[in-house]
Amino acid sequence: MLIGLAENPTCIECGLCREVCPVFQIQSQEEYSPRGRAMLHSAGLQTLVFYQCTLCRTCRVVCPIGHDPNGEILRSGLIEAGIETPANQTMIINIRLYGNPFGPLADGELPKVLTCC
Amino acid sequence: MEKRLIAEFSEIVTTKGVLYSPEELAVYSYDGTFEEHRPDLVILPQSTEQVQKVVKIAARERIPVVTRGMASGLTAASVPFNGGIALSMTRMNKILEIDTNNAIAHVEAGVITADLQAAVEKQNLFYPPDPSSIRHSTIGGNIACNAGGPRCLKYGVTGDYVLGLTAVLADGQVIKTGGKVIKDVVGYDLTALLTGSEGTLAIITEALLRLIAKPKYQRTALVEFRDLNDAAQTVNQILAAGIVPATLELIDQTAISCIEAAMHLGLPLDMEAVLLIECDGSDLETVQREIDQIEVICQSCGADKVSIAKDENERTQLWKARRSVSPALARMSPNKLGEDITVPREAIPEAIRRLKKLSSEMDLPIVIFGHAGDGNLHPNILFDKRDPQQWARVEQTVAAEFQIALDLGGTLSGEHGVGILKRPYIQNALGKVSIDLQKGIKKTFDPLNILNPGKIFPDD
Ligand SMILES: Cc1cc2nc3c(=O)[nH]c(=O)nc-3n(C[C@H](O)[C@H](O)[C@H](O)COP(=O)(O)OP(=O)(O)OC[C@H]3O[C@@H](n4cnc5c(N)ncnc54)[C@H](O)[C@@H]3O)c2cc1C
Ligand code: SF4
Ligand code: SF4
Repeated sequence: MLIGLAENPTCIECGLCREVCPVFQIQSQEEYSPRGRAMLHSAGLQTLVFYQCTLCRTCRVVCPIGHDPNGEILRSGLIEAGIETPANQTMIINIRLYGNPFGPLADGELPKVLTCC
Repeated sequence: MEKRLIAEFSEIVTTKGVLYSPEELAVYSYDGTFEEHRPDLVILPQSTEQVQKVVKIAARERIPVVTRGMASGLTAASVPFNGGIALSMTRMNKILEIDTNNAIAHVEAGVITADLQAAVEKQNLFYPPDPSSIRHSTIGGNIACNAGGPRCLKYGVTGDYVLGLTAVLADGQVIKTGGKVIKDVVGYDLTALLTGSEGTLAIITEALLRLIAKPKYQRTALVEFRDLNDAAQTVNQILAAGIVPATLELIDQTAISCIEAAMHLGLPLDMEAVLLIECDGSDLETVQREIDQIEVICQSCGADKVSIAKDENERTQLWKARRSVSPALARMSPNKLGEDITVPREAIPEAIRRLKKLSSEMDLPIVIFGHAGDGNLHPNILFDKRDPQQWARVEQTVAAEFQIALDLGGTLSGEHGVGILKRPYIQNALGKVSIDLQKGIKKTFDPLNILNPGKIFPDD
């Protein structure tokens, strides 16, 4: 009778994952929780909040149905829809202009600032 | 919501305290159930004064205010079906004082229950109420639903620990009920009235909670039964012998197999039921004597095997099993519907017999587990909502479950509350006289019907 876990099962809104998500532990606000992300995704909404996920998948470990938060897929949808952070845009511009995400670098110079989305 | 109102609210709680983008509204539209409805605005207040100001505007503009803790509720009580403001209490999460001399904690309503427990245990004190959702529900939500949990058999429910409340009324006035005293008989007991009122009478912003000494020793046993009836009888035999364990939980065969499939703890799959029993106290000898007596009683009632946890690690494993029952069921079928009917404890064996019969009559699996010691059972119907025929049978089964509880002198809900989901059934449980009186109380507190409208009582 067990449901197979091959497909990503739809979130049943129990909220258990909020006990372990490191981002939710800090923010204490539903939009930063795995449950919130799952509900936003199923409502077809795209938001920069999707970046506030460490991709650690701890939520999946405790989730009773094994829902996968799919952080990467949610993010890739954002870029496609043109919803980007300034850091994101800077990295893309840097890659175009200098061939690396950090900006102008002299030969052998190591980047001083690590930009992240 | 109109721009001018958003501006007015932002002045009170700052722009960071109001949310209204579609994605923000979407994540404040649901709780632990499948019900959903978006609010028009989310407000995150940080003080009683801010709540007061928000409610005053809401009253002037006739906007519904639906208070929300962590939205772990199981009755859609915090879902804003009429739109309006979702008032999220999560930023009022300060523990204001732990008064060790009086053993009282003073907290804001948005404190997460597990955080409070951890803080008081550091001072060797103890806040007993332990809903399974302890890490993702708030004190305010626990009070508003009068939440219970496994330890409530010995220690009582949330309401037994609430000494006083600070709350904002529907017109924006603040009321303080009770105080740091254990006994208080001056006037009506408004603390008790607000406890369990599901956000329909007032918005709780602060609470004074009674603490007790932390029990030093625990002994935990897992008892296996080939016959579910024997397990149910054992519950009564233990209590009749004058022993009050902290916990007396029952888990039936289907639930055991779900937990085993999800967690591989080595639970017995060929048993009709297990009881999880825990004794605690500050005197090791007494605790040991109680668990030994319980072992003898279980064996004389037909238990197949009694295993007592040897160390903290084994105990944690047993508890892990109990806590994961409800979530583990989610893997068994596409949908489940859990109720929390309560019967006088003498009627537990009969309640279980009738639920089993109902399950086979309706051709729907019903998993039974729950706080058997206080007669609070969680029958969970497993089904597939996509099949319309099954769904029709589920609705009939729920009504029949409630009828079983009422016929045996019990009630619809022991801890989850009414919200919207049990509304259709409360007429039967309470009767017209009681409902009319309670609607009158609601009207006195909230004449404009702006506090969590449409919850608990059926429409006129
Ligand atoms: C996995 C799981 C296990 C659970 N186990 C248990 C259990 O063992 N025992 C049990 O009793 N319940 C249990 N529940 C149900 C639920 O967790 C409790 O009802 C809990 O008390 C709700 O708290 P909350 O902060 O999430 O409140 P919410 O769900 O946000 O709100 C619930 C109700 O309280 C009102 N409310 C919230 N805060 C306030 C406030 N400050 N002032 C006025 N009204 C307010 C809301 O308007 C709403 O009507 C469980 C739920 C889940 C998902
Ligand atoms: S994967 Fe993302 S959502 Fe899941 S626990 Fe980690 S940070 Fe939270
Ligand atoms: S993602 Fe899993 S654990 Fe989180 S709310 Fe959904 S079903 Fe529950």
